[in-house]
Amino acid sequence: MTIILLLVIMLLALLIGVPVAFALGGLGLGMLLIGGFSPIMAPLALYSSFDSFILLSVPLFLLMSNILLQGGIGRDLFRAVQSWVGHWPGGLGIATIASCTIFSAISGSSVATAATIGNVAIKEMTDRGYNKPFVYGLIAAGGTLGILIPPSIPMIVYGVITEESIVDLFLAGIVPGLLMASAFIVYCFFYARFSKEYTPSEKSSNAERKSASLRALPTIALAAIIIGGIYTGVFTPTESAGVGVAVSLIIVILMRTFSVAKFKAAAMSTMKNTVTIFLIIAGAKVFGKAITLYQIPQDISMLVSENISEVGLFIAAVCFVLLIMGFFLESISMLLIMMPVLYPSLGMMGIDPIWFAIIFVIMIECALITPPVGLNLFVIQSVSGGKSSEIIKGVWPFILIMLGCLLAVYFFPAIALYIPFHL
Amino acid sequence: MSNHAEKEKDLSTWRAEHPALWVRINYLLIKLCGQLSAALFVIVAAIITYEVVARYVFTAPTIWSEDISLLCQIWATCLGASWVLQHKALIRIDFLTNMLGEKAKKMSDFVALLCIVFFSGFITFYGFGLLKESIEMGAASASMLGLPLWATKSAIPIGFGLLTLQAIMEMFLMFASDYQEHEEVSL
Repeated sequence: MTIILLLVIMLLALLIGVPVAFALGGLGLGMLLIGGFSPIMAPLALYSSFDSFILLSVPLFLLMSNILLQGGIGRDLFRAVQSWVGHWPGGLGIATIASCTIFSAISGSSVATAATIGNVAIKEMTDRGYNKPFVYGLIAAGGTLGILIPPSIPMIVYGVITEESIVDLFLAGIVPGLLMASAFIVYCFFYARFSKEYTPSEKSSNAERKSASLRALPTIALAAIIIGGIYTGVFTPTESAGVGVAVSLIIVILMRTFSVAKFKAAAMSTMKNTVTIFLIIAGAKVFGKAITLYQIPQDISMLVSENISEVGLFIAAVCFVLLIMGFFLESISMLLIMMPVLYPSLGMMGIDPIWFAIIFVIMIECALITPPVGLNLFVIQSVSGGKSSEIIKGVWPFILIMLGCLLAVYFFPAIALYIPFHL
Repeated sequence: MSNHAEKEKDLSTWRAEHPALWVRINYLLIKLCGQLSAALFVIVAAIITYEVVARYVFTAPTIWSEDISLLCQIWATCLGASWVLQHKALIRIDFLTNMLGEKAKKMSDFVALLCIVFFSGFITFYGFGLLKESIEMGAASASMLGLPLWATKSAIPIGFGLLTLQAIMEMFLMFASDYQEHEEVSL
């Protein structure tokens, strides 16, 4: 009964436009007060959520991708990949996905990835006559690779809520990320085979390839430093983000594409995004504390274990709820509302939390491109000025491909778990 | 992105050139908080990088980097909160409220601000209690540096106190002027 009442209040608050952070925090605080628990737990929860060394990596990863975005790194990266694959059928599409994949290994945010690559790729592709909805869908979907391929801000938040190892989570994302990127590339290839609207690019000469690749080399090296550093344990994820900020600053300064004004813009946008995320985390922490005192997660996991015996059914039910939530909510909020409630059920069902994280992140990727509320759709709209109807028309094939990858990870858990646990 | 940047600029100029003095002063103060917060995040990046260099190049890891970077993070978040509110950049579901008329939009904004005042007001109040306790106990962080806890704990009542005031001001401002559109937030 309490659960239904809470659900109704929460939905109502969210729908009338109460910011997610304060809907969660306010509800949690109200529950503490009504239940007669010490309300001093609320500021304590806030304090403990900001006092986290792991969360330090969030502003650092954001700062790094903002510096690279402002420094116009997307252009060099896209040019380099294009010089190698541009003349293939659907070559520009393939170059777009490949650039997104490389940038994903630097950036932990899907929006930064979509914006960085979209800034360059949309114009190049539409100039060559590629179908607009296809282009928009491609970049919206390609951008979501940013949170599946490590580093990934949602995975950091997942790790903070569930106390799972961030490194294991990151490593688990590598193969599913590459699988999804390959699926997108195969789709581009076949799409181009059957569509005759676009003019293929000319094959680049060896000299062109060499000079373009040389300019993109520092960015690729940066990706190697970050992933390699985390994998070998040279740095913690937070340290790799700090080093990444320093290296990306050196890159954009040496490339002479940076200025003090751009640095300020990058810092301000980092601050804005970090503070909004951290406030939601803080609100969710208060809410999490309150529902735990009310024994709600335990009740739900009892309910689940009594009624759902199959892991598959459980995952399907969760995915269905996430799909619906994803129409209206953005990624971090979904994670913070759902995980504290679901986490106890994972143990009871014997589900590996790292494997579940990958499934959750793929559902978040879908949420990012499902209308009416999908952050990547908004980004594509503001980068390209395209109509939302065109963008929406373009994304659905990619949603199907993502759900296909989800099934692959579900039936073959090794796709996610091989690198962290068997290598 | 240009369209987006322009909208943000409009919102800022509207406040910066507002006829009422208190709106202008408030705008400048909060702008300062926002810039301070951004600068603190940049300092965090510098500290963490220095720590890696200190460990691998000088083989002399510092004892202060973790404490100080967390201190910066806590202050940055608390100071940034009122900036984010003033810039209407908090994440919310707006597809339903977007369909409403101006009057209904104002009502929904009012309810949202009430929630913010409720939450941050309580946090400020109990945050002060927490701060008093850590000063009386002389509590310090559990690390080699032993940073006094009041240095970090004071950020909560101050930051959320500012946020409460800002939310109350936004309420006044909302009824004293036309409706200001919210920003599209991107993460």
